[in-house]
Amino acid sequence: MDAKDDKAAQTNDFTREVSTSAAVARHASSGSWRRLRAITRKEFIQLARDRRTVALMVGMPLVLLIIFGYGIRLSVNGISAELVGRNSPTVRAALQAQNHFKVLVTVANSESAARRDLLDGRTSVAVIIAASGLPTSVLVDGSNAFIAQNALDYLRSLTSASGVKPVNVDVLYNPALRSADFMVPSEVGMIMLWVGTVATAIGVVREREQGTLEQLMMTPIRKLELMVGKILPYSALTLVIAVMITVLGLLLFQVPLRGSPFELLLFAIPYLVSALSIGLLVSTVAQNQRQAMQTTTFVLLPQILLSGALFPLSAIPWGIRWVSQLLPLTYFTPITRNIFLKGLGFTQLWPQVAVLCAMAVVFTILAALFFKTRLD
Amino acid sequence: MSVAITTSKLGKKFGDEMAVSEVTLEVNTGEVYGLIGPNGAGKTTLIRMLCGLFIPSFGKGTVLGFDIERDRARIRERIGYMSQGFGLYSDLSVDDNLRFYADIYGVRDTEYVDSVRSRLGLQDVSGQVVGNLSTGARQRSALAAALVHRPELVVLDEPTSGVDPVARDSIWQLVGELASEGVTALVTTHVMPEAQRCDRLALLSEGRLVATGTPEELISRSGLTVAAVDAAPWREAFAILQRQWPEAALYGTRIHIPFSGGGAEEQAIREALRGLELRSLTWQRPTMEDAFIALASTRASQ
Repeated sequence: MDAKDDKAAQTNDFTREVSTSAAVARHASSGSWRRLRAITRKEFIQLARDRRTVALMVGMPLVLLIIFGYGIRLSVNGISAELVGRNSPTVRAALQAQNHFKVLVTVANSESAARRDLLDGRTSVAVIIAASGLPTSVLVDGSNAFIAQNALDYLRSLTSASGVKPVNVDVLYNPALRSADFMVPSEVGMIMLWVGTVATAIGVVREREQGTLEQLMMTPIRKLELMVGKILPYSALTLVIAVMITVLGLLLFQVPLRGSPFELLLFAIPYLVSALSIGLLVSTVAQNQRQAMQTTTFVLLPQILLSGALFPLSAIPWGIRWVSQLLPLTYFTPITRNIFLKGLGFTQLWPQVAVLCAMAVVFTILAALFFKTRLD
Repeated sequence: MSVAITTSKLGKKFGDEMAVSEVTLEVNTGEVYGLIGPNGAGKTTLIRMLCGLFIPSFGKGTVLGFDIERDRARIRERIGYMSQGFGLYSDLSVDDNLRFYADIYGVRDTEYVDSVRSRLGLQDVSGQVVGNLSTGARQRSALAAALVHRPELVVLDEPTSGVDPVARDSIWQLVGELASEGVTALVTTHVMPEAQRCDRLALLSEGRLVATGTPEELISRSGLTVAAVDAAPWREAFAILQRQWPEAALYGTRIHIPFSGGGAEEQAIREALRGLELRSLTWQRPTMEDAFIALASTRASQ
């Protein structure tokens, strides 16, 4: 190529560049919207065709709702108990009074016989009654800590049976200690986390696995457009499922929603963004859908166990309590519980909302940093 | 003549592995340029660097006048890319895919998209889900998606792998037509008869550029003549000849032995096949494949 050609080519390049940058400036925003719309539209078509994923995303929360609502009871009734030594109608009546205990074997003749019954699993509690008719000691089968803990709690309030002045216990907000009241609000948070993270991670990794991500990277689409375009449909799906769980909780289990549903929805947004960004982060390390599922489980299990959604935060040892502080669900659980059961609002819950907003920002920035529109 | 692609000592290293080293080449506008080479030669890596999917470890390059590192966005608006791993959404229909890419590129001219579709003979399958199509139809749809925005350059990474001869021909025919309309095509292949349909070729081997030129130039540059042997029984003949000349290859039941230089080996061949029926022994110009094997192996042995 001679010098003249070279110069002509340069001018050509120059004019092309000028016209392009003008065109880019003019169309930048409309272009972004158009591309965003294209991605979102495509995701919705794919979602509508992928019945198995949708069934999983909707079905799994339903199953969980029913298991948590009906099946798993954090309060245990009808614990089997037996009296040892002699019958005491007072103690028996006290045990049976609140349906907490079911007195199966009226009288075992000795303590060793009672121990055998505990070993065989015929009873969970044995109350030893002295000749005076007063209970002297109680044996509890500790092999099921859950039942034992409940039994101990009931027994403590049962001192009246021995003629001592009854200890008055008042349970507030969830007087019946119904597990549904406790579980459904925290389940909303767990389900949103699960659906949001899994759907986003799988949605991106599937494109990587099938090679369509490489093709997308070759188009003028920008990183943020791709991220937002992938996330929007899954946010919609997650919110629909969260609303579904809430409505079913209200209808099936009569869980009270004492606070504002609008605030609940509003505070759910920073939480949702955090969950989806975690999904995007998972997608940056997983090469295929199997790895994505495994990584998501690895990320979600500690969240569910350590966030206080299932087990109280106070039960989590200090050594790993700091992990809890880093998890979005730790802050969303008090929001749902307090809005549902106590009717609190922004005035009381703003610290949690603020932390969630900060987390949403941090997780989004992290996802944007790790999300690459290049292959190397 | 303007230039569509230039590279200067372009290279890519993955860890200690040198995938592409010091490739310097120039592709003219409106040219069908073939990148040929065995699997693992670095063709895809080179293409990915040109398209901005990989950052080069060394060297420089321009595509359509834009720097491949700084102007990735501008390059992407102007090129159509067809990846080796099929890039369309297999759960969407051909039309959904085409519409998606048209939207992404901001194409409002639906008539043009329709014309691309019919040029590739996709009208009949346009409503079908891409995953259910034959490989040929799938590759044609992928090519259509790469063309919806009237790119100035199309980059096709093994567009015809696994495709039946008819579909293969229609793809190459379209590439040729596009070139005559001024669209540059950069195509990788390891199917040699296809390489012969390119205007110019670059032969890559083990990440290095071994030779560039027109198909005819590469064939002459190989300096080969090929002995074509027709003998019976052919299996036995082939076994004997291959023992003496390991580069002997079967074409049907005929045996080709490439030799550098003249026909001095004729006597040796006749000698080797003594006792078998030698029906014919002719000397031929090497095929692209012969030249390819010879050029690739000279480089490898250096």
